[in-house]
Amino acid sequence: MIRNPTTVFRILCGIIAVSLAVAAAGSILFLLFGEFLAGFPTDAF
Amino acid sequence: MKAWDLVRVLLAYAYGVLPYLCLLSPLRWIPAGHTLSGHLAVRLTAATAALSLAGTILSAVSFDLFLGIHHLLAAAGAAVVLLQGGRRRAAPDRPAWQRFDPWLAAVLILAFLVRAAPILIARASLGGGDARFHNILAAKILLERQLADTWLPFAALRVAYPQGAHVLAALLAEWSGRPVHEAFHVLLCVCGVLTTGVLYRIARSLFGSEAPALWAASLYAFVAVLGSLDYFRWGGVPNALGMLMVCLLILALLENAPRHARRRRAGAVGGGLVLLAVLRIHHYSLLVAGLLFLFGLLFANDRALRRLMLGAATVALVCALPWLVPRVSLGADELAQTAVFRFREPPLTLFSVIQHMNPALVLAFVVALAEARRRVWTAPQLLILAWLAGMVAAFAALEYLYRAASLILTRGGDCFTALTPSRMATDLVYPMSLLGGFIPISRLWEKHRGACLGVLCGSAVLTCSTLSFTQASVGVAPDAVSAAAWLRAHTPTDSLIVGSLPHVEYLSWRETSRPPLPASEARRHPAFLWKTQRSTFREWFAWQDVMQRPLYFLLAPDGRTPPFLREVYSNPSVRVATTRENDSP
Repeated sequence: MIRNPTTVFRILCGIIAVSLAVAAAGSILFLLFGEFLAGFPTDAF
Repeated sequence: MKAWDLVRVLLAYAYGVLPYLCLLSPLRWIPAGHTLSGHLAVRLTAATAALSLAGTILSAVSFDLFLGIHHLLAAAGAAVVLLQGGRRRAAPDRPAWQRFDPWLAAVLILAFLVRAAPILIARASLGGGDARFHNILAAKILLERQLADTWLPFAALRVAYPQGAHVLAALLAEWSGRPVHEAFHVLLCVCGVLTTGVLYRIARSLFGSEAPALWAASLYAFVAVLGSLDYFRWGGVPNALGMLMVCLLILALLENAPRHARRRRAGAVGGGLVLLAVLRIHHYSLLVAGLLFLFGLLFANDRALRRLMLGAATVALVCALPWLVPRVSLGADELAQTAVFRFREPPLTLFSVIQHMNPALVLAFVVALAEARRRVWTAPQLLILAWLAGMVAAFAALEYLYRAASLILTRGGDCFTALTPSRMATDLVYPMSLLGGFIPISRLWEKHRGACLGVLCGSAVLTCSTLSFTQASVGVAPDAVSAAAWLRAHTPTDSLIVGSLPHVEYLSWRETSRPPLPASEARRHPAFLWKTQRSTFREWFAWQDVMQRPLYFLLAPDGRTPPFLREVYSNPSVRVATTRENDSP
């Protein structure tokens, strides 16, 4: 258990930052290849 | 929906929760709080959890048994109130929770009104998106007088979806005499108000003062769109109810962790039972609670909090065994037939997520986090941040990494995701609203208090007024309603309708070739696939020759009717045609 709250805060902010970086990169790819991805069917009923 | 009908359903809800409200009042694990409105919101949430849990347990045997036992409980609840009333008169001190807080009361009343506005404006709404299958499940409970076991007559599949929210809707519909879709509308309003109250209480516990709690509650009630004001658009009542219970669980953890051992044990049992209610209401909310426990246990720097979480998880696991064992024993085969790990939804960019959440909420959250970065965070605050980090990580992994992996593994042939990441984005607004509570204790607030309040009020007014009017058309489909009424009145009960319209299954109670089923159901089972794989008239006629069942086709309003069909009904949106040998009378 990490007791120092500042360390825990930094680790958690790091996890959020890395996740957001992945999401941003993925979003850019979605925008670049939007037409290709739009060709796939969806499960909407 | 008319205002009087809304009142009728609310009265039915009051009768539903009152016995549990009385019976739960002696329990200490539900903290009393500081104000009357907050106290009532938490007690009502606990009573709703108990009602839903009792409903799913008893209605598995018989819905009528549940109703009968409820009347007995109402009498027992009245007895508890009378006994407590006598004791209270003898006590000279007035408890702290009896203090009336006009600001919180105003927020809760407004939260109800902004959620009731679209359903009162859209008088004939049947509910948006997912309401198509929620209405069916609740109507089946009323019809079969027990929890729905299968999706018949719409699909020969077992129901996997938990029915804790549906049994509540069925109960309200039974007592109010209104249809189940109206009961769902009112449940959604109630969930919005109770969630606002419980979030207020959590924020009060996190920050220790009134202003941040009111700020966080207001952010959720009036600014958050996804996961709050947006529920009516897609009909996510089980999600709203499940997340409300997750919020109650968090409050039970935060309020009981700093207490003495006996109180912590009570908190663990209470928290475990709330977690059990989440399991019986919504599996996705259980997943979100799982992330809270996982990241909380990894990062919460408070031993008592971790012990309490472990205790609650153990109680929930032991109590859930009767439900979990049969589900686990079904194995991976049945899971593979669902869309849980192979769900095709349109890709979500970060920009669209922010847009759907409401940029004002995201801005408030980012500013709050930036302002709080130099503070020493307490263990409860870190728990909420850990929960948020878990959800953001899960969202990124499911929406982007899993989708990329699916593309690579299928060599560009398919693109799917798992565990509906859009729901994860929906549930993110709960911790975001809570952490937004840092603003009223920040330096920014000290310097620009008026500007902060102005931005909050401005964005709240803009968001609520816009949504009240844009949502007024949600679930309003008069042509589909009249077509469904015709089908119900003029077709044999064993007819199969090829095609589908929104809510046509719920209204006509006829099997269609594309019934709405949630992602958790075995949509890839052969008992369902046979319908979706037929696409030509020839294939359907061949099927009819074998099955000897009447066939009806839903056709587009413009276009010619094929010569081998006869048109039997039409309106501006749809035509109904049948084979010449089963002409309607």
